[in-house]
Amino acid sequence: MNILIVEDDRSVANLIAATLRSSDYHYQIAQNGKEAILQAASHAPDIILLDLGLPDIDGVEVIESVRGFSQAPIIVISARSEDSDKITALDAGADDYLTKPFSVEELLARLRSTARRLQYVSSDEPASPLFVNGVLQIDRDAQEVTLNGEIIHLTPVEYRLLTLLAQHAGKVLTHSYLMKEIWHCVPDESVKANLRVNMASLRRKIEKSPDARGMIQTHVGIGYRLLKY
Amino acid sequence: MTAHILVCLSSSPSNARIIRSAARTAALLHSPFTGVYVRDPQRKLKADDEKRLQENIALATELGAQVEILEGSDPAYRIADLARSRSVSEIFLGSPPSSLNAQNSLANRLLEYVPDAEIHIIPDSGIENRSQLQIAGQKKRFSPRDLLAAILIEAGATLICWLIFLSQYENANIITVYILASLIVSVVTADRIYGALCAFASFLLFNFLFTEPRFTLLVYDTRYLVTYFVMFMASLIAGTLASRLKENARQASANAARTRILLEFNEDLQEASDEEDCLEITARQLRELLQRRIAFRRCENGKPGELHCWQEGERNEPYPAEEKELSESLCADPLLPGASGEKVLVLPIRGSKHLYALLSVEREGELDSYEDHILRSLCAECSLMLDNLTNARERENALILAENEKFRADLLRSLSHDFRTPLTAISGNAESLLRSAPEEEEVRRIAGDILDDSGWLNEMAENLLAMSRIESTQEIHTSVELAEDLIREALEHADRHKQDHQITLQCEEDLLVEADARLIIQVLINLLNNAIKYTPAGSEIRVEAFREEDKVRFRVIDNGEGISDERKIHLFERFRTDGRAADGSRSLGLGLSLCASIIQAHGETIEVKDNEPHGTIVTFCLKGVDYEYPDR
Repeated sequence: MNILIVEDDRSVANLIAATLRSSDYHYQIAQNGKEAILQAASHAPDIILLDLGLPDIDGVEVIESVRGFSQAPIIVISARSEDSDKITALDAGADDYLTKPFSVEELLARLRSTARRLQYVSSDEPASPLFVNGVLQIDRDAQEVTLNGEIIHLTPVEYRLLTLLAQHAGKVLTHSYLMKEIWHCVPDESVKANLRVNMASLRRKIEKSPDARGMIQTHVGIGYRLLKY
Repeated sequence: MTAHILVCLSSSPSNARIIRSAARTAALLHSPFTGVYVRDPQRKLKADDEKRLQENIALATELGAQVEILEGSDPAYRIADLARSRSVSEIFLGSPPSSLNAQNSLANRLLEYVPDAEIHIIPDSGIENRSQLQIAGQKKRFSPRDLLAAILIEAGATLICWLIFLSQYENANIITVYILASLIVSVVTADRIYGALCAFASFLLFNFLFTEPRFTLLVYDTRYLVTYFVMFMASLIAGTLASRLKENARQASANAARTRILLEFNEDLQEASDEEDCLEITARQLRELLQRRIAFRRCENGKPGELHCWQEGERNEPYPAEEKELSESLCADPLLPGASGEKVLVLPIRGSKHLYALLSVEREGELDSYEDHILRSLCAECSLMLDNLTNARERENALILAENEKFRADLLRSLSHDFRTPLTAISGNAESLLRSAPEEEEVRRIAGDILDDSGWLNEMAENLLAMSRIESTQEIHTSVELAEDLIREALEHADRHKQDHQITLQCEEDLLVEADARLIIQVLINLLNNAIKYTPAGSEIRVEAFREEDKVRFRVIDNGEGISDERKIHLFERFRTDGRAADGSRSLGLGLSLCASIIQAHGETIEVKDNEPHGTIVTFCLKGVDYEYPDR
């Protein structure tokens, strides 16, 4: 597994490098945006860890450039706690985000889950109507969702939400993206309320099984994610 | 249209009653209230009338009226003018019952001039007695100088007529010369009575000297009767016109003089740089206009300050001592329009918000009402200017304050932002150490401390950031959020020692609130961290959210020692730490005050209560959002 670290702060870059080394990942370090785009093109990394506050160009621009030639998962690292930055990055094509200061444990967990997703994406057969994620199984043809083999009953909106999340398993989907895909309308307060309540209800139904606990993550102010097991 | 009450002031003793009833109406309607007095420059009021007039003006001022003193011989016209310019809706005036039917009574003429206004006529038995005044006025009119001038002019005219008569010119020229003479007399003398006398004398002289039979007052030719009559009337009318013209010119110049004084004064005031300057200019101007000693004291916080007074050359006596006492009484009662002692008159210079200064005038020889009017006008102008200066300064201060506030917020924001990157490296490396050397007790302890401290620093940076947001703008970005999501997120970010406590979550399903998610999560993290920090390991901490009418109540409950009542009072004050923090664990005491600010910005309050049998409950509400299930 080859990882590109884009970070201008030396101590943080060293920390990430040491962490990756200890878990036997390969890595390169880019210290600015231009270098990052070059290395992403030449080394074709499997995962990109990208700091949003770069000295030369804006992190979101880097995401857009990289997305021009590569679909490698991008995990954004941001010192900004303003949610809007993360949402912009996610909508531009980033897959996940980490807020500074993050714990080493958290970084490794994100890398693991992204790696799992990579495997799933690479082994994905688009024709397969079956999505399996741990105890959760979605049969798109039968429009049936089972948990530990037991059928669970979802409302149409919940079903659509679940399949959308499953389709992008491992990726954080922003509120505005979900609202656009499900309700096809300009998001307003009542649609937001709708999304919150439907998501909560869906999560309750899935988390009935202790094995599926935490499968749907809520990122307050940002969006939701179905964790890939 | 809003109401505006106008009351006509007079020197009548019963005028007070009219002022009071007008003031009552004004108070009832919360409307502006103006008092007006029209001074006739031709008539000098008697001393006791003047005194009563001053009392009535003072009463009107006291009852909240803005008193205007106008000049003119036709009160109805001037009052109507004022009433129109101020859009007056109701006029109160007193009128003797007998004059009500008279065609040209004040009330009737006002009705004609200001048809929009309601006119309240209050019977007034004691209104100033005109005939009496007329006599009083006439006594003054016989000035020997004017009489002499009239006689000389008449004699001169007769001499010229004699010459004309001798040179056999037509008699018509003689008549013209006499008309001219009475015209000249009217212009030269102060009163129209001389013109009238002149006209009469001309008629007699013409009859006596120049018509047949001469040197008698007999008339042979009846045609002369017409001539006499025309001549008399012509000179009478010409004289009256001339004197009225003169009077108007005098009035106009008096008004112009006053306007000029006020204008010049205003220009001087514009140059005043501060309040002291403004008051000095006012005092100097008044000293020149009134030729009296003027003094002033500035007032600060309702206390009179030091006395400023200018000594006039040779007179070096101290300013009357009673001024101090009067000033103090004025300071004590903000409603008094002024106070007068035996030697001085003290007037407050009061702005829209507070009393700026007290200005005192020596009243050696009573101030007449013209001087009084100038004095009050200048004081009013001065207080207006002081208001302007104060407002300008307040605006400037507010601007500086806003800039400071912005600077502070920016500083806090960039500080807490810049904290994060090094904190990432510090806490991350400590964590790595902890993971890589599990067997070395010493390293573990050090790494754990570093991790705890960097966590604490991060928490503080988060609080500072939230504080800079909430305090600089008081602006929150609310959206609809699920209460459970907020609590879960907060639990995730709470202190790393949370596993030492039994934390439970009890939340009703589908509870939607309107909240700024980041800030409310910050509140919950602070409350949780406090509960974790101040309760012994193993304590229970429960976070609840439930519907309460149209709101959602959040509670963070622990079963620790609880907080004593005296500590509770100061709990939400900034930079105050709980007494227990003194044992070494740091805290800026920012957390709880920030929580209070955030909840306040959401329009609610945060409270702390005792838990049973022991422990603490911190609770707050958020606005709930109703949700209907359209998709089920």
